[in-house]
Amino acid sequence: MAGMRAFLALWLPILLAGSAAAQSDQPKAPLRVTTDSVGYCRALAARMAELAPRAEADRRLLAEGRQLCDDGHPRAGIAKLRRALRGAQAPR
Amino acid sequence: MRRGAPALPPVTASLAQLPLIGLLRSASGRFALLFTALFAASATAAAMVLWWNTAGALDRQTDAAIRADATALMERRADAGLMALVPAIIDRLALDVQNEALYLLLGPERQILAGNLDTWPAEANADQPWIRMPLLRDGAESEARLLRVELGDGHRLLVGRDVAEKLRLRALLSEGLAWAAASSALIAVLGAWMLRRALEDRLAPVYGTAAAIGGGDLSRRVPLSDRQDEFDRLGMTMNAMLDRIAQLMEGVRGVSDAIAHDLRTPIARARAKLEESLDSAADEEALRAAVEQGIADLDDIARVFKAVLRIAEVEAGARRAAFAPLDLAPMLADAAELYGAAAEALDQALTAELPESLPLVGDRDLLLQAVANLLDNALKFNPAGGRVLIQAQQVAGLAEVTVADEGPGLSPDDRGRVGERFFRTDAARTTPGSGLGLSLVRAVVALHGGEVVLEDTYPGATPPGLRVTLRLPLGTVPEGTGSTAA
Repeated sequence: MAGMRAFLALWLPILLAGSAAAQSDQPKAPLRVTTDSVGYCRALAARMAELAPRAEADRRLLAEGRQLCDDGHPRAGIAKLRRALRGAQAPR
Repeated sequence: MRRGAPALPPVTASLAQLPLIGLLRSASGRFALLFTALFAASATAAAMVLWWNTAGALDRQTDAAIRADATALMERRADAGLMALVPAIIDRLALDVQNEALYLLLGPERQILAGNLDTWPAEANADQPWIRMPLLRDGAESEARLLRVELGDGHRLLVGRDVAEKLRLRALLSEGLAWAAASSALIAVLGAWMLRRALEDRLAPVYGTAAAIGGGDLSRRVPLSDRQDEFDRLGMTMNAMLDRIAQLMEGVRGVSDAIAHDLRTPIARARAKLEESLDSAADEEALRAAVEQGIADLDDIARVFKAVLRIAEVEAGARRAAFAPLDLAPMLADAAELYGAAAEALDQALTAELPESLPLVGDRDLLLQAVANLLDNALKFNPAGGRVLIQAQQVAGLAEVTVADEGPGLSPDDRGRVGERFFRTDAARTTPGSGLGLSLVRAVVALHGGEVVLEDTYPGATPPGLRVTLRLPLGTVPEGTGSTAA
């Protein structure tokens, strides 16, 4: 087992050299994504509502997305609203 | 350690005891290490190709998507102006079902005009337009791949993707490769150990045989397998070498015995004559005659020794350096002329049938000596009025020299022994000679890589006569030895 560990210690750095080198220049302060918030979710829902989707599936996605946002699950809600938007904008 | 080799200093000796040093000192160990290294190199190459075609392809795919997105936005800006980028980015974010698009449009006052990143990173101000940044998405850590685009008038744009999914895939791939590498290393070590073991097993019989022979058991030979591989060829070569050594030792022993046996008689005879004349010589003249006879006897013995030494010299190959291109035909003509006179004196006829030229590479003196011995024997055993024929011809890359007589010939048993030193047939014991003539002939022909063929001149007749044919290669200097065939 010690031999296996020594081997992994020898080879893993070589195999992961690309990612390790790429990660070495990363700053400590990460960027934050702003489109995961409840506010963005509601803005997206309002935009979808303005489009007045005619398809039942799009309307259901809009309702579910809005409900998820209200329940405090903005990422899931945003995902549904984006799918509804894409469906509503797709050529029929 | 070899006998006479200097003893290793204590530090070197202790180093040699280390397993790795010991492995490197062994040829099978070095083969095994080479096998391991080749195996590791091939496994590494396979891993690199796999990495390039999976993780590398994912990275290249992401970069291509970002570059295409940035190009589309630049075209939008060119068509509708800079501020048209704001709704374009908003639309893109609204339709980003994969939830991985990243944008940040910055105005000249560093104010955010559009996008989903909270701030412009300092790293994006570097010369390199491509950057990687850690990313926090709803509290979860991830990584962003971003491309900076300068829009002019102080406007700047970041276009990127969240590569969390790709990082997860890469981690899975790394883990898989690590396990594959560990398995490969284990197999390589196992293979190296098996290779070393196999080499040692195959060489063990050779070691054993060499050790037994070194210990004095000269009858031991390397046991051979049915594989007919390199080790069997090594064993066969060693066995052939040992057989040759045994044959030479047997020959040396035979010569020693022959010298002891065959020279004891003439020495004893010479001594007896001298002793007898010392006791019974009537006068000084008789004593002088006896001493002269003793000197002549001792000269004969010295000639025999000289002949034995010459045969030994020829068999050792010491004369091979004297090989040179020569024409056998005039040389044989000279010998025929010389012995023709002797034949006439013995009331015999010597006939020569020789070609114009018979070029050959060899030792002129030795070949002449061999032919002279054959002619001497033929005249010695030919009956009065008999014929001796000397012939030469070139046959398929060989020079054939034949001397045929009408004498008593040789029985099949005797033909196998005439090459032995001091061997004389029963019929020849009454004729002068030492039994070394044909030994020298055989040694000379063997030195030239040829063979001696003994046949009846007239098969079925009485007496059958003896036809001796020397078959000599024409061309290059031979390395092997020849044989006597009957």
